[in-house]
Amino acid sequence: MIFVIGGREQGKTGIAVSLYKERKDFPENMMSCELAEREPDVADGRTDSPEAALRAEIVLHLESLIRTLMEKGESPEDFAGKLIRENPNAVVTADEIGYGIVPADAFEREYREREGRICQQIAGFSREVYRVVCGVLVRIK
Amino acid sequence: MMAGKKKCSKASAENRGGNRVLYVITGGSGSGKSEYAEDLAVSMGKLPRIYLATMQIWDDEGKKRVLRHKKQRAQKGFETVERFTELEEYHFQSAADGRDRAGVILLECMSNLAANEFYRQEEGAFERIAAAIKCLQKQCCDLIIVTNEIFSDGVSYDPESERYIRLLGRINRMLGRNADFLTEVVCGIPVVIKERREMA
Repeated sequence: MIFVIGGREQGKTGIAVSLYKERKDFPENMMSCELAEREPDVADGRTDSPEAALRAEIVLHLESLIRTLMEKGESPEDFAGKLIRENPNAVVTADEIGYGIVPADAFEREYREREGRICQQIAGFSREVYRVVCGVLVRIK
Repeated sequence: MMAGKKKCSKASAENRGGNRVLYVITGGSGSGKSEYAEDLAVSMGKLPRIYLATMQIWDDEGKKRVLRHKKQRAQKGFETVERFTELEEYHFQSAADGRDRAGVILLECMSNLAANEFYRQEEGAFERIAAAIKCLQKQCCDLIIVTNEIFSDGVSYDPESERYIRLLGRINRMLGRNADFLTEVVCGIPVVIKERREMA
């Protein structure tokens, strides 16, 4: 797994696609040239389901998936565990959302807390972790 | 430590095909990025040393902030220029000696300039700011731009503010692409994000 974090509007999506195409640890039975030639299968957490994310090669906006699951009363932690088990080669992006004032609203507080902990879990599992600042990639793991 | 410090010698300018050096400093509020950028400008030793202030003052909080910043740079040899919009049409002329080329211009800060242009006329704001950066680069040896990290609070704002955030994000990505040196200041500590490799 490759994990890309950073604030919104930093260019993470484009970077995730590039990283996927350039990756060295491509899945077995797949040649690197094959990856470069076709568009990867992308699941966007803002519009696609958690099930789609479990199958996609690139998972965008993990934070939105977490929020949606919380709103439905389902466990985002269980989903993160499944993502790691069932889709361990994915490139995953998430917005950093914990750099503001701690919200007064209880749900918003809990969302930031749980998103942060899940990002720690994903980062812990990932072989490579990148942070994006002003569109520039910094490898932090 | 002054990460990203570099002399703008004639030889190095020629090596880069005559391009000037662009430093971009980012960070959250209260991170120390302003002080860092000022120290960087001073350390270059180039004159005239221009402080290009873009913040429009509306209230006491703004006045206080300006006063604090003015004190901080009072002894640092800056000529202060206040210009809030239309920097793409700015022509530098030193008030001190009439020179029309600055040694260093420190633009403080991009989030204010972006807001001023956005609320003045949203359409074309990005293009005007891109032109402004080119215009400034032609008029100085080193250009230092301070910008702001406002992208990581997880808050959804009203549609107008969301568009402003997208504008500043787009500007910051453009700055990151074009910067010779990109530094994020964290708790007063400069963290180098991008550093131009020196040519042999």
